Amino acid sequence: MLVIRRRAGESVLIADDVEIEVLDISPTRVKLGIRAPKQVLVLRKEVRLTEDHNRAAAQEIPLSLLAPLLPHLRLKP
Amino acid sequence: MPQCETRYFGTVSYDDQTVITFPAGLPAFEQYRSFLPIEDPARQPFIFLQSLEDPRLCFLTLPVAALDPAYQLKLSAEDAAAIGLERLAGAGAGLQCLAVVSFGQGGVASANLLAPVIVNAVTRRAVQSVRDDSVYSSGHPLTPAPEASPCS
Repeated sequence: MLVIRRRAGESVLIADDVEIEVLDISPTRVKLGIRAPKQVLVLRKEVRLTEDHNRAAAQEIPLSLLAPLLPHLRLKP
Repeated sequence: MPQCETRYFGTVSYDDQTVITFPAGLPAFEQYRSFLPIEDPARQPFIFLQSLEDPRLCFLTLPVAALDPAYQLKLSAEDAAAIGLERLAGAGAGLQCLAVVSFGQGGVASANLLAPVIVNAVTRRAVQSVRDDSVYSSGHPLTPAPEASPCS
C-alpha cells in the first residue's frame, strides 16, 4: 500500500482526472473531498461490503441449517 | 387476498398491509422494491423477506436484538427521511431493525450488523442503512467462535 502524509487543504491525484483533497481533520475522522468524472464510481467501502453480503444472502439457503442456530439466538422477550 | 410465489414456502396468501417497500431497493438489489415478511413459527426468530417481484429472491433476516440486545441503532437523516421518519428522537418504538443473514463457505452463518434493514412500522417503508462508523461488522457470526484450544 502506498502511504502519503497530507495536511488539511492538501490533495492527492489519481490518474488524470481524480483528485482527493483532505478538507478537515478531527481527532477521529478526516473529511475528504473527491473530484472525479461522473462515470467514476465512488463508494464508501461499507456499501461494497454490504453489496457482497447481500449477494451471498440471496443464494438459496438449505433451511435445515437454521435449526442448529436457534439455541444461539435470543427470542423476543 | 393477493397471492405470491415464494422461494421457500410455495404459494402464500398475504395481506397488502404487511408488504414492505424499499424506495431505493437494497445495495446490489436496487431494482427490487416490494418485499413480504414471512415468519415461520418453527424457525422463529428468523424472518424471511420475500421479494414480490422475483419469487427466487428471498433474504433471511433476524431481529438485531436476537443477536445483540445492546445494539445501538444509528440512522442518518437521509435514511430516516427515506422511510418517512419525521424525527429520530423517540422513534425507536415504531421501528423494526433486522440483520440480513448469509451462509458462507461450509455453511457458516453471518449477519450484517453494519447495515441493518430498518422498517418503519407505520409507513411500511424500509431502508438498508449502511452505517458510517465501524462499530459493527458486516459479517457478525451467528454462533460463538470455537473455544481456542489450550496451549500445549
